[in-house]
Amino acid sequence: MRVPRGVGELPLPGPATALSALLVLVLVAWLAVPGLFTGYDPLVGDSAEVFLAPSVAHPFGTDHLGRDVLARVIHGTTQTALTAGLAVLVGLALGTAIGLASSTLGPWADAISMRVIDALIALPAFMVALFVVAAYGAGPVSLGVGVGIGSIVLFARVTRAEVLRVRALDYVEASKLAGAGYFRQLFGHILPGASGALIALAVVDFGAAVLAVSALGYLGFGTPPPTPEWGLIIAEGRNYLANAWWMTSLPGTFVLLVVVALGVLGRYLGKATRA
Amino acid sequence: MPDTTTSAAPALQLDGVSLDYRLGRQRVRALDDVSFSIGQGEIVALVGESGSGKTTIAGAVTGLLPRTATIASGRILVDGTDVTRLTESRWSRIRGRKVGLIPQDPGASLTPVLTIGDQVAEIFAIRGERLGRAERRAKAIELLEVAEVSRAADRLTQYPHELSGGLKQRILIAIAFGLNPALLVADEPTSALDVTVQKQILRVFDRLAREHGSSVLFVTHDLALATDHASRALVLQRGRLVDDAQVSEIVDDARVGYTRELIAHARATQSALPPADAADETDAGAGTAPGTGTAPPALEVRGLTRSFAGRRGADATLAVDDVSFAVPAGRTVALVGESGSGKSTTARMILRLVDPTSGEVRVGGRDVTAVQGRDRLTLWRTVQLVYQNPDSALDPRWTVGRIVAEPLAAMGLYPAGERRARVQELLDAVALPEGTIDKRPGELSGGQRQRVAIARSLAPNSSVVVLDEALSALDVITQERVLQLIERLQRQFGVSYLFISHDLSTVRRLAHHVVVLRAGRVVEQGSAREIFTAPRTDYVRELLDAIPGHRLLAGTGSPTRTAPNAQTAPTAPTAPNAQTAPTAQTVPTEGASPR
Repeated sequence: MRVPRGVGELPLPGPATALSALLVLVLVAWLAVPGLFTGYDPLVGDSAEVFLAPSVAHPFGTDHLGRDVLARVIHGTTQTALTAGLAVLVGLALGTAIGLASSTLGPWADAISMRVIDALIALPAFMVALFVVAAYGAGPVSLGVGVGIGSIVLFARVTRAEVLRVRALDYVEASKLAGAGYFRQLFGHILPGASGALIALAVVDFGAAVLAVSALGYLGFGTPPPTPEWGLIIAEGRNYLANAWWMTSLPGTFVLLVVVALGVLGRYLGKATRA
Repeated sequence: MPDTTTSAAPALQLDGVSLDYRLGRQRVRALDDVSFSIGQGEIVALVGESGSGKTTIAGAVTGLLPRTATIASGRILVDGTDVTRLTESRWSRIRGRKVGLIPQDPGASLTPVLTIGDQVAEIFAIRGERLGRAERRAKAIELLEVAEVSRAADRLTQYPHELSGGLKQRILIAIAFGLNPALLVADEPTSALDVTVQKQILRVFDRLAREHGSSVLFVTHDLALATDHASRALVLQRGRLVDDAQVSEIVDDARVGYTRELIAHARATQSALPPADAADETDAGAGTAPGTGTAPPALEVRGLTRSFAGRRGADATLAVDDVSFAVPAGRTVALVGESGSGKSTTARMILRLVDPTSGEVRVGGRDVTAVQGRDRLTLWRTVQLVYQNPDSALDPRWTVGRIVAEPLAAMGLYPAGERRARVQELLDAVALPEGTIDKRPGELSGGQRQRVAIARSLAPNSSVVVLDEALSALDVITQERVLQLIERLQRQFGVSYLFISHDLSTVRRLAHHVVVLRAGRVVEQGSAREIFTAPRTDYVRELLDAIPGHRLLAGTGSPTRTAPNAQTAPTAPTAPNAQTAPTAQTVPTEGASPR
């Protein structure tokens, strides 16, 4: 079994992977310095420029208040990505903890935690997120936590399976014979061994979270207007579908591309770490 | 498809075949200008170490190469048909009819969801025979009986998981011969089986090949096996065909240096007499526990038993049943048996990884049968384990230095600042080249990885090392080098070994005392010399008889002439001083396999 350790050792990415990586890099740049990529203000529009169709000056067109839609998408990256990131973090932290507990603390812990997970599976993730937002009020934090709870199931399942796989390898037993205790085995061998699959899953899940956050933002459970957020941007265009198709279609297509790109990247990472 | 079967066309012909694998961003040459042919009815062995390209040739000839492989140049003709660049759909008409394959792993080669009868009946469909039910059944039974499948009629309704590995391989042989292909490729057909089963299977295989007049390409890493069953041998080394000669010539007088080396290694393991008796007299200078007779043995096992509960209602099965033996300090005791005989369970009980049902384990006279918690650490400081497969025994993410230092760090031995020096000392002791300490297992060859595992097992100054099939995953030549290392470490550090193996030829080389297990019970134990020269039970006689290499020993190098001084490594006549560490130069030739 060979494990790539640096970017130089990763297998050659295909064109789809390369394009996906490029898109994600662009997103990271937008997240860090949105002002560098657009000269327009995302909040204040120009009343002389309402409902302008896409053009070189406004690639995504302008909205009902004369704001540049691309500027709103670029500035909205922060809100959407941070909320989705919070969701992934919640899912990863709690899911990994539950998965670890079930796979290392003995049959009782396994039985109990896996039944909890089964119960969670029975609830649609989107509904769980809605419950949390409804109970704790709309806003990015409750939205992120709500979406994150939905992905605990995935992380817990994958962690458990990976830990069981790695634990059966001779080198973990060798570590025990070398005198390593529970935590030394866990942090020295088992978690690093399982990390490849978890990183890949986190990337894919980030895409799913972007979609969920946007969807809930669209429904009005996220950040209140006028703060730009992808779901909200799409929702605002809804009323003008007939005369300004670009207000919904272009940001919508963009969100779709991001989700697909993250999925492609996650698959690539998963394959690379397993090879 | 033109049927060009003529008696003149060889069954298989390779003309200057070169083949590359895509590996990440680079291309790796797996075969380099390989040419040979196999005549009709000829049985030819293809011999080489792992990574030499044997399996690649088998794959190219059967159209079963992975998609990363490309034939860069050359031509492959099967029974006169050019198969170099066939599409998958055309291959499917050739496979089975013109080329048959007997695979390495019988367990993975039968469809688990179909009965044996259904799978055998596929032959008739491929042959285009329309048969009635009764007729099909009769013919299937006949086919299985030819391959000496016991209770053939009952087998037809059974599923693969209900059969043993040996039976599955017989069925696969029956299927392969049933199609009567011009060429049969047998890819390590018995390496997953026990010696006694291997012998029976190959007897059936030999007879069928003779009766059908089939041409056979017999792929194996085991030269002894090759010389026993083939008339001609092709020797591969790193993708190049280095030798192509009649077996009789090779056995008597191999002209190619590499072949000579292989023969010498194989013969050495076959012919070496056990070190047992000689050891006590000649090995006095080794500085190991002088009063072996009075001191408690390094490891002792008394009446060790382990039962596993049967399924609901069924009786418990005894995996290990009343096993007793002792390992004196500085000596090697071999635990021998076929798969399922309880060897590994015994080892795991000694290491406290499995609880014994009853019996006693003593290390240096101290009872450790039920030690718990901290005391287990004390046990593991004394008794260590080397695994069969060095690939899975070393964490691929860790450096060699960190791997070998793990016991030191986890047990708190040596101050942190001195650990690296201690690790380097251990790596030197196992003759790993300079700089290995900062490498990762993926950068090392199989033999080097096993050396790292051995270094780790010695790290806590352990006095007993359990070698659980520690040589089985290695090539013949690598095996021989690691074996010499193990012997040298024993002389140097006075370690005792419990050497668990199914391979009697390595046991013969290494062990002072042999314990033969069968179905969990000790059938015979005694000094290695007694066991190998005067076995008392039929089972042990049968085991000994099943060791391949009869023809090799019948050659000029008579065993009695090379053997008397069993303590010097008989394969290294140029290095009579066996105390000398194998030099660093010998190590890289173990060759990393280009996987």
